[in-house]
Amino acid sequence: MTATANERVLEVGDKGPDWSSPPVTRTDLVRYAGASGDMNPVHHDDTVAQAVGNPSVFAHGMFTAGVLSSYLVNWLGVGSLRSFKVRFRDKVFPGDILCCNAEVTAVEEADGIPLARINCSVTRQDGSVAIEGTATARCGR
Amino acid sequence: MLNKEAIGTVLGEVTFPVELGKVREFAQAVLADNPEYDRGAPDGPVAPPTFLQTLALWEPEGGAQLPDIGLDYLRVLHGEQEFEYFAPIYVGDEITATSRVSDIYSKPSTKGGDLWFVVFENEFENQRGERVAVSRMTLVQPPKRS
Repeated sequence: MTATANERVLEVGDKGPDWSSPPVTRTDLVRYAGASGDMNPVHHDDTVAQAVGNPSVFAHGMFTAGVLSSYLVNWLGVGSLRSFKVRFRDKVFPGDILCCNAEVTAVEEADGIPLARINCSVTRQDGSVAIEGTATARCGR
Repeated sequence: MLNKEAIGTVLGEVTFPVELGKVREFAQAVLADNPEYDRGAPDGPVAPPTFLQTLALWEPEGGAQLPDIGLDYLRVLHGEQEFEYFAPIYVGDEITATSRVSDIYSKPSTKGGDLWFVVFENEFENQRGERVAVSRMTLVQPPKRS
């Protein structure tokens, strides 16, 4: 990929910067619904969300995953990601703070290109895990 | 019990343009403010990593046509989402997405019964026929509670 703005030199154990989102708002969820085209009403209509057993609307899993990808890109550079995979663990509700975390678990070479393997997650203000994932990213030597 | 014969079924193909306004809107929606998304990397503005989710806007009303897998959509959860990236996606590209059912499997649930997993795969090519990305969405159907 040629769009890589910078290739950070990474070593096993390197951690991403400390970063937390502002509290998630309903406006964030509406904006993501419109931007992504995912208009499932459980993400913007409290009546529907409560009818299926939720205390209120909750975030699209891919909103939280998108925020985590933005955090990784801010750390590693636009165009550096080679893969990104997330597992959805728990719902995110308005008012939750998304604390993003990432750590390099391996640095390997693939076709002569150094690649970092990264574990990443989003935890909330109470420490509970909302999503966890893995990524691979091109890095410098 | 889901219909494993649906594995491999091609669900459809759709072509869509990558537009600057949409990229900017999507970047803002995932709290990204990198200038590469609207003013451009060396070769022009690029799309953020999860931008391909906007494929949903180009699918037929009510979503892609699904084969008879046997999923109960009221019970289904979005379990996992994966992307692999092979080349950058630039504003101005025309992306063609081909969707298929790539896997259907089950695991015993710790609470009794079976958990069923269905993997939908999208392959994305640009207007030059270069494969730019693959995405995989795993839906999970927990056992029915009596």
